[in-house]
Amino acid sequence: MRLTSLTSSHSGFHKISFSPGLSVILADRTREATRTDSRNGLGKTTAIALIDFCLGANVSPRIEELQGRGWVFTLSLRTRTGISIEASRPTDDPSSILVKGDLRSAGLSSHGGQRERLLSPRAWTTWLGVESWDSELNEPGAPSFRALLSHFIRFRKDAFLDAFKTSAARRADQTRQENAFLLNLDWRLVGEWVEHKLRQARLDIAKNVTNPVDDEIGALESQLARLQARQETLTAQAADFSIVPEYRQVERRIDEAAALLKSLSNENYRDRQQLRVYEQDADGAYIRTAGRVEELFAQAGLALGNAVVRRLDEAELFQRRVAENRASYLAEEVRRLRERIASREAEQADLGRAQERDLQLLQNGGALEDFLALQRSVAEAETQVNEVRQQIELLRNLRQREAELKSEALGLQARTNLDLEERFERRARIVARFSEIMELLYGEPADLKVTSGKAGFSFKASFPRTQSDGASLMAIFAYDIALSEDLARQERGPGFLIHDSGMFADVDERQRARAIELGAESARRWSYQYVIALNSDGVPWSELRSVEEFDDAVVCRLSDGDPSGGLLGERLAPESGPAAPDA
Amino acid sequence: MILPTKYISSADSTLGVAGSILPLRRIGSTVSELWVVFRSERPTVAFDSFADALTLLFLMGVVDLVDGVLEWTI
Repeated sequence: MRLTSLTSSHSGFHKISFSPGLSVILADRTREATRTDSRNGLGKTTAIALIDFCLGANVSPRIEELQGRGWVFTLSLRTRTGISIEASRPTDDPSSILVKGDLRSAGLSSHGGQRERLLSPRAWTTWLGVESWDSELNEPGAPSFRALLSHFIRFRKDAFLDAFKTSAARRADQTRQENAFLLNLDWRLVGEWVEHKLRQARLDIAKNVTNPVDDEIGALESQLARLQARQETLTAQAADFSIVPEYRQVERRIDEAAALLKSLSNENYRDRQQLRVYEQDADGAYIRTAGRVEELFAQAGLALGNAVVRRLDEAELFQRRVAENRASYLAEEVRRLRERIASREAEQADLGRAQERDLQLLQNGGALEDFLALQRSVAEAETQVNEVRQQIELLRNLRQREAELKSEALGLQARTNLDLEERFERRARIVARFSEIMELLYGEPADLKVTSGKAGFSFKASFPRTQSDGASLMAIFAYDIALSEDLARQERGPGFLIHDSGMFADVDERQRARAIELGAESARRWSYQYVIALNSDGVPWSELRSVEEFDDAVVCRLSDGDPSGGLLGERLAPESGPAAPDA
Repeated sequence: MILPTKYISSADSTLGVAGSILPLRRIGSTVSELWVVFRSERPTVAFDSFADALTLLFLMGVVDLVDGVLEWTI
């Protein structure tokens, strides 16, 4: 598009009508002003800020100073197809922009006869985006009109730090994306690199950085093998387990049987002893021993004395008669003993068999609570196995993600390199022109390096080292001019380039003159507008080839003779406000 | 034999056995009967010891055997 003019509802405002080619906004400073006082400035930077404001900028502190007075600023422009459009934006109500003109033809309205329309800043910048870049900005993730425009309107303090950056606040990936776009590279790759970095960062958090993932997996796998073996053993045990109900009772029974067996055994032992005695004395020889009663008689006499009232022969006779049936008594006794022994033996045998059965029962089975405990162990083992499995799975997953990311990085790297190669021609002219301009200014070529780095595209401008900082500024100048020419050739872009005086701040007079002339010539040749704002004492009068040509290019002359000489035609009431250096 | 010793308890001594027999004298009149009763009271005492004890009681004039029946003087 073409900038036609900047006007205001406010009567004292100095209307600026832009030329094709070079337009100069000149501030004639006749007396000393403090460098930090923007209010006493003549408004050349404000003029640029107002152009930016009319093109959809957010309200900056500079614009805020202009609020509360009902001022409206209007930018007239001509579309690529030659339609004249006016955009008016009040500082007090920046969210409604009034556009006027043949709206239908310009694509600002679908109604045939509509000549006026209120737009939101978003709608306005969207239209501007189409006007400048066709449908290129429609793609999701594409840079915005405003982001790209900042490369063609440099006036803020931080706009003169770096050729590729237009604002200190801009994120590195955004800057990269904008420059890739302008240098005809595949700007989508920048977004992919950003996502890749995010995924890498997330993965790094998930990983345990002390142990390599493979080692951990190895350790866990051997642990898993152990746990699985244990689980199998326990499961088999549980499967084979047969529950003996009343297990404890059976246990008690066994113990009781053992005790009983023991006592039976003891009793049998005593009875067998007695039996042996009887069997040895089968013929009753013992009792018929004469000495027996004699012994008894003797002992009784000793122990009982007078209590003994019978004679020995009487006693012998007595005992003989008592023992008459001894044989049968003994036989009876032996029989009884044998009977008792046999019965105990039978009981022992029964008990023994029962005990045997019980023992067998206990051996093959177990108590219910033992089974339950076993089941719990099985469940526990299963849980442990699952936990370790999960851990291994997680780690394998991490390892996979790691591998994928590595592969992705390689892929991205390859694609970035390929893109740079394939699109070399499309930026070759820009790179060459950059070098050409720097050589023209400083006699030494400089390099515009566009390479592929660890984070995707990498942009670097190298310039000859001179005494002043001017070379870094001129590198920015050279880049902007080279870009503008390339865009003009492609019939893309906003169609203008605007530099505030900060562009020439520390530059030597000679370079300054060359730069201004170069800019003018470039704009003329490639049919774009180059607008600069300068202080009169910043103009390299002595170095310019044609002061007349320069003079012709001045479209706005501001002076500080009286307040009406400033852009706004009046002095602003004293208020606290931000200060920007006035070069 | 009559009196308890280190190896024979008082109950197993002849005097002791005699002491066990005495309470049973009304129950069994013949030797056999007395022996059967005594056996259930003192199953571990052999017949010979029983016979010795009865003889001791005879010596003391407590019992006599008359026509196959035991006669007690107390």
